[in-house]
Amino acid sequence: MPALTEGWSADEALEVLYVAHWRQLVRLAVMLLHDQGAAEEVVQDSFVAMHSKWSRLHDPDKALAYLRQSVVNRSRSHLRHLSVVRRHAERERPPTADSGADHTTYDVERRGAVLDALRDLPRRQREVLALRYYLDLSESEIADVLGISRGAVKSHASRGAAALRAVLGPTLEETR
Amino acid sequence: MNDDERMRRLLSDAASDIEPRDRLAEIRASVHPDPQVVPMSRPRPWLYALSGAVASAAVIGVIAYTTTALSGPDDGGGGLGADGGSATSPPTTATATDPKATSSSTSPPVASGKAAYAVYYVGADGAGKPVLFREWHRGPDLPAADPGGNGNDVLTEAVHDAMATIPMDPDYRTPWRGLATLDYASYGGTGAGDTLQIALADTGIADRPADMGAAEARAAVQQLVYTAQGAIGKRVPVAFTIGRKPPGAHPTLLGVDISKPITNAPVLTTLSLVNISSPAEGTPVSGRLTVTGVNNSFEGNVVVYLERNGKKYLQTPTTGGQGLHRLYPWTVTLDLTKVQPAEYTLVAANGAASGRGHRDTDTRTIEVK
Repeated sequence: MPALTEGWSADEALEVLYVAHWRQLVRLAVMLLHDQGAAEEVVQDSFVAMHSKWSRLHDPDKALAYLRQSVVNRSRSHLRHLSVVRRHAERERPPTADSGADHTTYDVERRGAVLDALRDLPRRQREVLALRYYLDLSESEIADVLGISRGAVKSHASRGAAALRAVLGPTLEETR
Repeated sequence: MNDDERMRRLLSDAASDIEPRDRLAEIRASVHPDPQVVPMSRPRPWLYALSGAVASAAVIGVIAYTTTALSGPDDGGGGLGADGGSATSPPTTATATDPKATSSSTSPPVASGKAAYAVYYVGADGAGKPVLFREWHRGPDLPAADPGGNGNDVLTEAVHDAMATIPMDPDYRTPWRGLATLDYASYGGTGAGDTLQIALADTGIADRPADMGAAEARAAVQQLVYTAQGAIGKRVPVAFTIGRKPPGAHPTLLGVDISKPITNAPVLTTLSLVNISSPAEGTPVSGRLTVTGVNNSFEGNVVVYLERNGKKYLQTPTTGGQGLHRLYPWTVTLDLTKVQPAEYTLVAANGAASGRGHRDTDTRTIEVK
């Protein structure tokens, strides 16, 4: 609805996009980083950057695409730091949220196992799987975010999915 | 259910436990930094989270140089002022004790106007790799910092200390002692490409001495970069010159490329991931001791305790932070009335992350009265 959004100020765009996408983008970043605190920082920085670029983006869809790309890139550079300094810090599980009574230990373990398995994938495969299966992006959208060809998206997706299946075989069955 | 659908469910389920903290207020504040920041106002950690050392530099400068010594330049976070809050004020009497303490147990109060400045020294992380630790020094002979000035007095003093003054903490060292001396350090302000100048006397320091490792050489150069940046409160590049030759005449310093001005190396690969800010080494203390410092560790965990003859006392966990570009402040208070008067080692140890085979620590020797 360009007519409605055209007049948004950067502040208005920030508020709207925050409400709509903050949680999802942080979750995406947790998948990429395996660290919730760092994920929040990465996404926070992305929102701030988006705000400063709003005059050029000027469109919520473009802004969202920018946010996704920013989250992926910043997550990547965060991992680069870590790989030098603290190769193993990210191997810790992210803090699990306060488990409500309805969460069985099994649920918590399964979720942890999936995040662990993602973490152990090569970076590209992890990125492609998170964008495809968590954000539900199309192959061409993923290609744009990652700056790779659609063919590469396809092959990373199939290799990543195969690797996840291999690790999570029994867990996958559970979700049938 | 096909495979794609199953994968989709698996991933959204995996993320479903993750409840991010609400940061809208911080983001709003970050995009509209309050231009009215005045001296003594509390540094706002989120501002520096923007990797925006440049954006925030003006603010930091003001905080660093127009306040009393109790709030000196606080750059140990790597984001210049990133420590946030007063938790990492330099070790003046902030480390002191409760009002019942005897006067001998506290350092003399710092006269207003005397500058406290951060000096970085080389130490070792838990794996023995050289990393930089920050030590707060005070300049007894320095004139009061000039609010409008560029802090060159502090700058020269700080860089000089980093090269030539033996650190208070015996665990730290400066590789420069006996190797080279400071000619001058200066900063002209925002013009002229906005760089710091550090001029070293020529003592054959272009190449790395045979007995110095490459990591040590990099740490030595970064020691001066971090110290100089801390002194002026800005993360600007440092142009090194040797022997009053023009910049670039010596392309290396200790084998490190200085053909162009160099900036600080990333905080997390350069600084110790845990650093005690106060008390200072050798401080006599009693009553309730406030220990401050900075860290970056898994979930921010750090444990502070006293150690003597292999036994640990008053183990107190606290949290600083974990993040991308900086260190985070922490504070604990130890009740020293619960231990026998003696000399102890005060230890701050980062929480161990699984798979990391060592713990990063920083220590101080303190005398409990």
